[in-house]
Amino acid sequence: MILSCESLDYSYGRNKALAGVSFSLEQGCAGLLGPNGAGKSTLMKCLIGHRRIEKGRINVLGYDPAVHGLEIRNQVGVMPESDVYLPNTTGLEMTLQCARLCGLPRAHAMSRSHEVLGYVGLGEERYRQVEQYSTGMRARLKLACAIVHGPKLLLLDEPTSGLDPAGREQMLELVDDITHRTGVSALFSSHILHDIEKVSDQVVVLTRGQVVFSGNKVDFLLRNTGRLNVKVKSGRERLAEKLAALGCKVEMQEGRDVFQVGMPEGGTVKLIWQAAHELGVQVRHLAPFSIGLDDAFKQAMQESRTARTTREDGI
Amino acid sequence: MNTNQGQARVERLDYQPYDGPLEPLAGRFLVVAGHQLRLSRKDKWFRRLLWFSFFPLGIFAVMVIVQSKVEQIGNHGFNLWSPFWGAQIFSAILITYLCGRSTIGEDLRTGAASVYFARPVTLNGYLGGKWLSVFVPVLFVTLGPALLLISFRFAIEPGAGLLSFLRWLAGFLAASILLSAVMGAVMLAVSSLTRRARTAGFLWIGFIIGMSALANGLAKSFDDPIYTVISFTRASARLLAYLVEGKGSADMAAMDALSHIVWLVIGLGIVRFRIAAGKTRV
Repeated sequence: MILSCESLDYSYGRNKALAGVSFSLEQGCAGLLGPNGAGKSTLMKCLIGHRRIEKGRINVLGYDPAVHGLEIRNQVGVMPESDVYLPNTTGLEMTLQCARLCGLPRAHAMSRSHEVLGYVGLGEERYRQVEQYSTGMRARLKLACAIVHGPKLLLLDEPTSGLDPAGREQMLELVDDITHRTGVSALFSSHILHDIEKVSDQVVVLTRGQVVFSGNKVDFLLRNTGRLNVKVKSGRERLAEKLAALGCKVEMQEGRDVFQVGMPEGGTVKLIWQAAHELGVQVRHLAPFSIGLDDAFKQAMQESRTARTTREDGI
Repeated sequence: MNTNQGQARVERLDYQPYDGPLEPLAGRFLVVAGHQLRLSRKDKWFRRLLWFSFFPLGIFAVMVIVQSKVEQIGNHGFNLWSPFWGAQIFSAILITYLCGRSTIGEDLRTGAASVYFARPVTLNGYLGGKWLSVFVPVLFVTLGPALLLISFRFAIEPGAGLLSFLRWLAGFLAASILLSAVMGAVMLAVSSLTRRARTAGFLWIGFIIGMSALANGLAKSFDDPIYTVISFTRASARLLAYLVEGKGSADMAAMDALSHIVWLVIGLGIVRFRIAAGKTRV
């Protein structure tokens, strides 16, 4: 386990930013998904010890941020969302300074800086003042500064923020390469579902400071479905009618061969095979229904709102 | 025939984890100081002023030669150290303006503080490094010429013995260190009050002039020189006169030294508060 939080609470004055946040992450790339104001950035600041939590426990790489903040920051690379840079420096100087601040000796820091700047795609631009950089170049520079000291864990706060589509794809490729080829873990926060879906293996969904879901991305996608995609050669309507009579919930769409079948309580795939056999219908495709992260996220938000409304009505 | 024709060096562009040596955490403030000093060095006026601060040395060296030829020599000669120190204080004010105005404010403006604190750097390490980046140049322009002048005077003046030399050395060392420390702390505080280096520079000059005017004004109004301790530059001049020339009283010298310490604490307190507040916004 690379990171875990237990019953985390944090407030900005009277505004509760994090309420009872609990989750744990295994090695790999995890997506922290949530709308604006969900508490993603606040959570990341708590993980590196920049915010003192009011309640709960955090474990990052075996350390408690409240006690071992320096040790954590030695092994963690942070890519903040905001546009931050060292004034009056070139890209190379800034990367070099970040490497030196993480303890690399000067000679190693210089060669390492050139390596990571080449890796993120900053060629001759590294010798220009950072103030002259475009948004995409600054994002690459922030990533270079985050990885220059070879961290075990990356905290990426909206790394694709402000980038054009091409820049976003390049950034996602870099993150994917770092996390899946070299074994570096990452917590990648975003409100862009496509980005999370592309690079993450695990998902933590945060809304209004509370964790709605935490776990494997595939489980999140298949959650609340229990549905199957079915495609037949012919006799679709007869099969659908038969299944509906057996208690299944059938959804058909005009112009689409595939239809979804929601199983009744205790129902199994065998029900469909049996019904098809009785009607003489040839089944061509039968697989679990998977929705995109977009729809899964919307479902999760809806469930959260419903649960909150139920609690408020109960009060 | 060029056998290397057509061969190219393949540069590895993939990311590899770092497994080399790491320096201890305790020295990170030196990294902060080194970076800030390198930024100062980029400013041509800073470089020029470092060497210009030795200019009064030439004038006072001539005065030493003249004094050594006069019949009445040694302590009965005309006053050398106080006007010399006044010139060095002026250089110190200017060098502090050049190297200190962008230390904290610019970092808050660009969010650089979050770059520092996302790394294994403590608040004390950050402030210590920034303070050192002002302390060192100020010490250079105050103590450097002083060491040369006292060495020259010791060599030229027949009546100057080893005890006199040691007294001058100790006096200038103490005065330089105190003045450099205070200027570093107060400049950091001024820089933290604004996010623009130019504004911080104006605030610094205004503060120095205002502080001296207030001190003089109160001293004249109440007819009591004790009020001049409000100005650490006045206090520094008087402290040096006591340490090196024996002028004034020990009580007044103690008050002058205390003035330095109070301003040091005030400066570091303000900048620490401002950085801590800035951290929460970054």
